[in-house]
Amino acid sequence: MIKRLEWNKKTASAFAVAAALTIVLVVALNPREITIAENTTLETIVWTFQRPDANQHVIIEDKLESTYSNDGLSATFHMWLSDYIPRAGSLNYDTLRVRLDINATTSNPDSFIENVHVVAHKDQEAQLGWQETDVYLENLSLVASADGYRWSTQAYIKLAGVNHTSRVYATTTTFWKLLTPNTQSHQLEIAYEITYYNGTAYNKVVQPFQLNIVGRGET
Amino acid sequence: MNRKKALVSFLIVAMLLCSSLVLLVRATPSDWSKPRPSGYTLYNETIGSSKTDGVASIVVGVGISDYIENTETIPYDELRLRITTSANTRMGVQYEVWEEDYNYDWCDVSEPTGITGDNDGAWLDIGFTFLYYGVEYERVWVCSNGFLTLNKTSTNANSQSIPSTNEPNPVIAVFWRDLHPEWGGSITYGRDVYFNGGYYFVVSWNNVPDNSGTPQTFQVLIQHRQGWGSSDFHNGIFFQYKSITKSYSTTVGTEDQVGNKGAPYNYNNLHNQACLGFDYFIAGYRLERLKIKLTKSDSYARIGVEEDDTGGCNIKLKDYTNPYGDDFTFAIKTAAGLLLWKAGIIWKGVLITAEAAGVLANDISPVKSEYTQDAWEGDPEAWAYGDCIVENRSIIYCRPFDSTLATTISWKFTDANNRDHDLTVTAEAWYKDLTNDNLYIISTSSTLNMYINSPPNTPSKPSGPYWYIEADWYYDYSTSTTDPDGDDVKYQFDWGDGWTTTTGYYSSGETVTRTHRWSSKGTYYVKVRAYDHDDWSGWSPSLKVIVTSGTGCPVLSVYDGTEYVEEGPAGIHNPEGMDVVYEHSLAVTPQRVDGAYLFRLTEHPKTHSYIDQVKLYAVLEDGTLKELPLIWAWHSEDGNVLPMLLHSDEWKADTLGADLNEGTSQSIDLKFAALSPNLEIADFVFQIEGNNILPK
Repeated sequence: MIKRLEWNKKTASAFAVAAALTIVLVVALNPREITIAENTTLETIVWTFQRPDANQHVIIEDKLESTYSNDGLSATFHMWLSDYIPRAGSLNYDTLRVRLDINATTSNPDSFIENVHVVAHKDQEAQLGWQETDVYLENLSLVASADGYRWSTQAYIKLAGVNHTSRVYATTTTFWKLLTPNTQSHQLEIAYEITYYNGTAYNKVVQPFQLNIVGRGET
Repeated sequence: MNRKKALVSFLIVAMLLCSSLVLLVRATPSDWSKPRPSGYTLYNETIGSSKTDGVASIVVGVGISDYIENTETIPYDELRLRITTSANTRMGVQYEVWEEDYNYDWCDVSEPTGITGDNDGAWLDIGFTFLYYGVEYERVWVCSNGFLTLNKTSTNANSQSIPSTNEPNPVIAVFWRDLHPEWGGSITYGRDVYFNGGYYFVVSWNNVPDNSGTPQTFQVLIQHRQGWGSSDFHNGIFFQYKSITKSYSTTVGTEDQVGNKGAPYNYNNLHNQACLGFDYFIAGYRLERLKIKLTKSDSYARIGVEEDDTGGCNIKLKDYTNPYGDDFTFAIKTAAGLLLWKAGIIWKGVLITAEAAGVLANDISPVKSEYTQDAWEGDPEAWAYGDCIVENRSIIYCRPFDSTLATTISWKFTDANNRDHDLTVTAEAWYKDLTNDNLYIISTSSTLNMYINSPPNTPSKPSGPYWYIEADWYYDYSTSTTDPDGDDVKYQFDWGDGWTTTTGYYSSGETVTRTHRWSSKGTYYVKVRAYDHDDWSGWSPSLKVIVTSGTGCPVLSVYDGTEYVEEGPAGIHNPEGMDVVYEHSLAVTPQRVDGAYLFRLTEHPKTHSYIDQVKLYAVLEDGTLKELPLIWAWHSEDGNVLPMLLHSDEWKADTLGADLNEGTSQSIDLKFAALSPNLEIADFVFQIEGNNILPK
């Protein structure tokens, strides 16, 4: 009986510690709910490219760029279309290599970058892969990422500003893999989202890009 | 710095040092080695390796897809690899055959199989999952000739010994003999037959005549291990013989999927009322994990594991509900087929693995791996792995006999295109003996190397005749070079007339000789370069070749104080035999010897000249022309010919080439009286009159 009592005491203590830890963890890890006061979506930048002949590696080197300056936020959004790689061997897809690049600073007193998200939407005949070794961050930390598997339609990278930073930079490379023959068309929408605090409220700026790959024989 | 940080720093330094050592001392040649290309290069090549330890076997195939040069946007070169590994533990499965006559109890089944013809057969659903040599089957092919196969049809009447790699494989030979149901009897079956306290799938040959017309009655029973966990144990197989006759042409036993293992039974021991049991009772060796490890040699490369291209079959990865789709099925089938082909070459034991991959390719579970790790410059290793699990089963825990894991790798080079890189691809299979939980690991590796090629050194200036040569004749030219990497080299001669000659490969440093003829007179510049499979050297210095078609010989040599130096052809060729006067400004400066300048005229080996007169002029600094008197002329065979050469007349000295003179070309040594040493001579001009007829 005594033993059982002691056991119960230990159990109760353990439960208490566990409960406390749970609360601490929930408070610590649960992302803050942010109310976005103003949501600004910039004009979509559209890029179109016709799929080349089979087995042809094409160096593209197109650069899409957008700048935004308002409300104490200065941001530059880059999307660099590197090259188009034909399917090769057991890699049964054509690949477009794209580099994404975001630079942002806030200038108002007490302002900071809260987070940066890159969200991609694709069709189900394509894949989208990020590789960690291609990610370079300044004053940002990687919170989550998801590749775009064939049957999924979304891929993303979620980055959080570090220590209420007023300047962030992020760059990475993505591989847009087209599983269809080169007669088929594809579309990829990638949105850069910056959430920032301007000193009084949280605002968000979204720069959408739309990449169109046109199949041969299509217009 | 705390101890942990210090330890991490030490490990990093140690790894870098080790990497450097690996870079410097490449112990074994790579399975695939190529120079770094200068642009996009499609390889589409495959390497592979395999290993077996008697229980498990593993194979890894590395598909080298292509090399992508860096762009302005993507700052690294990249080699893309598709890696597939497949492993199995079916080698550990070994049936045993038991004589169980005491269990003999004929089981009547009456469902017609529909097999009524000679060399006939039919597919029958078993009614449960039948685990046979580590592979699960849902149906069997029943052949009229007394055997079953499991994944293919066969009506072979000629029984083969067990084991045998000849088809059919696998085979369950109940009473494999040439039987004739078309002459009588029947072949029947029963599914889910409750018999002696268990459920069975049964096939019976009832009074089916053999070649001699003697009826044979026997049956096979496959036990349904209901409630045992069908994937945990192999199903029992029983043969029963009610009424048979012995014949040497009978095969009895079980054989695996590739025919390298089996449990045969001697037909001589068969008799009526006999019962044989074939079983593999233990749970066996099962796969726990498959892992692909990528170990790089240096800190100027990264490895990216493409998660969206990672998957397998009988592998549990992260996203178990996210179907990958047809492309992965295609990829894995391709890989399996490739492995099967490779396996035939590499190792017989691997056939099992490859065959398993092929079997299971139809049963793909697509996936995302939570178990992947990229490698940055400072990391020595990247990987992808997954825990093995039998798919499409409601059983919570069931390790498979076969698994396949595939992934796509980007091997990225971040150097300035100036370093070699090595990568070792290792496939690991972890497997466990479920009877005692002992864990084993089997692994196999393939290595890749990309190197900076050093082109061959510039070859030497071609050596060979260059100034007295004739059009339409053949001349030999030689050169050589070395390759810094010791590679074999081939040469390309540029003859200067629009023609080139490319040789085969020669050892580094070996001299190569090639022949050429020029079709018309002129000045040509012969040069040569070398190639080492990857890169060309620069061009050698040019050899200036003067082709003197129609100007003929003999050849003039000038004594330069040390030796006679060939000056060039004394062009007096005239096919009609008319005298020609030829003047030549000397390139070699003659030196005084006892108050004279020494010259030699040597006949070309193939020609015959008639020399009428020779003169030597000195051109002084002020442009004055002074003739130097000929004071001595000595023919190599005829002796003094001075009188013949002093005047332009019909009295001539003739010289024969070696081909016309028993192998020795005739020559005439000349001495011209030298001018006073005080005179500054700007140039010498040699004049010859005569004619030379080329033989046709």
